[in-house]
Amino acid sequence: MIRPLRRRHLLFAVLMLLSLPLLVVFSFFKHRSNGVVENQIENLLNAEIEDFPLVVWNKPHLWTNLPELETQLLASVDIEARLAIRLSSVGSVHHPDILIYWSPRAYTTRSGISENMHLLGVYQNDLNPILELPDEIKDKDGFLIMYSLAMDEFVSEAPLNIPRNM
Amino acid sequence: MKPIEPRDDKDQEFFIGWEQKVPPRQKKFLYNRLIGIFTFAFLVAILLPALQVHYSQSFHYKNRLVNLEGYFTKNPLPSLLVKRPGGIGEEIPSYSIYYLSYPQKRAIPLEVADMYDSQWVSLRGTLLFNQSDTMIEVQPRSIDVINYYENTPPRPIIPEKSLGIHELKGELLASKTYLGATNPGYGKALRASSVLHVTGGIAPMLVINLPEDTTHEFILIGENNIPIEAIAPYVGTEVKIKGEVIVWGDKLVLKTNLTMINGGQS
Amino acid sequence: MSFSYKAIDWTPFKRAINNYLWVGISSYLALFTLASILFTPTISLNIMLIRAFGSAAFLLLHIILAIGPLCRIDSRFLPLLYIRRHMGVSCFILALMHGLLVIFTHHTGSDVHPLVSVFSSDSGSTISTFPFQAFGAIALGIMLVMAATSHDFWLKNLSAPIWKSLHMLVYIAYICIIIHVTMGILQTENSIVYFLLIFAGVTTLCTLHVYAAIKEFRTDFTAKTNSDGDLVETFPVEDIPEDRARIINLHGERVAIFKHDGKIYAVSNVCQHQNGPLGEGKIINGCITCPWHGMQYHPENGCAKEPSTEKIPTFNTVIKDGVVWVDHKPNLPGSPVKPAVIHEAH
Repeated sequence: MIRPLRRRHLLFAVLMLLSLPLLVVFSFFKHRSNGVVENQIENLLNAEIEDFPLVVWNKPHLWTNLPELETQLLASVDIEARLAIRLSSVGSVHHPDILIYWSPRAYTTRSGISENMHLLGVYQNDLNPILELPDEIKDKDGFLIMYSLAMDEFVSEAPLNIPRNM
Repeated sequence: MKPIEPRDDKDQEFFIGWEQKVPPRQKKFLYNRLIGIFTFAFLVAILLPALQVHYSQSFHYKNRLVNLEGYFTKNPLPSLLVKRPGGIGEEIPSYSIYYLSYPQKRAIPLEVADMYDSQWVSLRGTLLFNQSDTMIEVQPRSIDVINYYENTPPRPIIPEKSLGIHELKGELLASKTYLGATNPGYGKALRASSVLHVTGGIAPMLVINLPEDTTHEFILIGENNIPIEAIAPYVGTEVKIKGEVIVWGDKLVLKTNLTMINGGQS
Repeated sequence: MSFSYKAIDWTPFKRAINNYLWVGISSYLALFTLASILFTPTISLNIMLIRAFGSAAFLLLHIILAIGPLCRIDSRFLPLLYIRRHMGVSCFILALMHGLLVIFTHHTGSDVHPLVSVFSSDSGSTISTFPFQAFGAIALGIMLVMAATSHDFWLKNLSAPIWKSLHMLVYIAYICIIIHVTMGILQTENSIVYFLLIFAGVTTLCTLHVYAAIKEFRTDFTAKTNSDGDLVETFPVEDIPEDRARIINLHGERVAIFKHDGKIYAVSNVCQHQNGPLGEGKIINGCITCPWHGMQYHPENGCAKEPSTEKIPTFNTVIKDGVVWVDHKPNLPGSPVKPAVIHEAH
């Protein structure tokens, strides 16, 4: 009476042992990686990186409240001696649409973003990771301002000192 | 032939459910195993989150309403163009582009987009964003036309540059899930959600993972700036798409049609 | 086994294990949450809870399904049989939380009905489009039926064979859950540790079941062959422990031979409650007591102790020269039988 039940149990257990581990192995081999590929249109999007091969300085801990953010001052080798800023990627900036400005003075809430502040670009934009300094400010000391346009909020700032022998 | 031995000899403890106490040796045996099971379970509880894929950071600030003013455009997809303050050189776009959506898994309805297209508006909503893109989940009925009377600003000019026809390989997702509706916003486990977003009208996005943790994100639109119908089955899968790459402001757009996805195979 | 149905027949042991169970579950969920916040601080709350409840239910199900074969392999695990139903209902609660969160997070907010969406939104024939969520829903449905019929009330009213068959659907649910996990979250995560953990769990559980099944199946072919007409020789009286039994295989069925109070009794080894092995039980207060759930039978007639009404077949026994002989033809269930008296035989 119970033997058919035991027989059925054995058969089912063997079928499970043969099939389920195989299923796990199958899913492992069919698993898709995160699909990292080479940049398929790199030469069309990041043309400016090669324009600034010289690293003038590389400073961490420059930005308020963002100690892990590294800032590089880059220079071109052509006769125009252009300068640009490059910022490393940092995990702790939780603001949308961060714009990077150059300002002659430190940010105050009262003055906000004024017309004498120059927009250098968007933070961490993969299209334009290099923020070139306009000619009119490239030999002036000032401040870099991080501002979130979507939240209308100041995020951080860093002093920007240009070496005099540039 | 040997008899079938009982598992217990006559001195073995015996317990049945309605007895109040478990025999001591059995109790000790069980509690030792319980400790082992607890230890293993707690290890798993720590290991699983620790070994999770570390997803790209995206956020949805559901509890913070923002009020924004800008230029509403429905092409190539419903977006708000917000003027950037300060001094802006010629090479840098003077407007930020924020994609627009409705709550949950719905896009801005066509009639709403038609009503406010090419007008200066104010709206209220919550923000979804990652390091590259921002989307506003607009509160329904919060969009108002701004009447500037005779001082209406000129229509924004967003630089548009075609980079030609390219075949790109990446993962097709719903822009809203990727930008923070959930985090993570991609992967097999999230596919159903992405499909529902796309069938609700949310623009699909082609995400290409590059070395050094960078990504390129292309908003997908159909030719003539209309959404691509029947794209939902491709969402949440790896695809090869051939199309025209356009830089729109500082956004990447891929214009294509259904026949250009995976070589036209469904 | 009682006609006055209580929600749960609590004993100190059951309470203690139940408390440990829920302390364990709560601690697991808390630890998982803390670890998620630590390692992936930007993860959405819903996603985190979905994974916490899902993984907790998955782990608990493995423990529950291991109890059966472990009890066959080592009788010291038997007390866990009494808490298995609690664990099963707890597992269902965790799985239900997981399912509800999934539906709320991924399937609401569109024009498609959430329950329709579970089966249709992510469907296709490739790995990328495999409908893994449908398998999760099927498993949850089976677990719902099992949780709803977990009480003894249903065991009594559906009858033991039907109730047992219904609850054997847990293995179908388990297979559906393995498909759900391997075609779902395992396609999202990259760490090989995820695969190894699941592979280890599946293999261990299935191996335990096969081992227990082979052990039981093999003993079905260990049979006594020395016979005298209908009587089959078994073993010496002194080899049978007092108040315990020896089990023999008679023509395909197991028979339990008990020694109690100077007498020898032989009954079917199969308990009518849930097919437990009576021969591995003990005589307590003059009744054969099943080691699985404590069902009791009078050895002299095979009738369950009042108020239960189950009956088991009895067998005639004779002692010849200190050896017990058993008539291989069973008496009808509940038939009174004259035991072989040891003192007379000697």
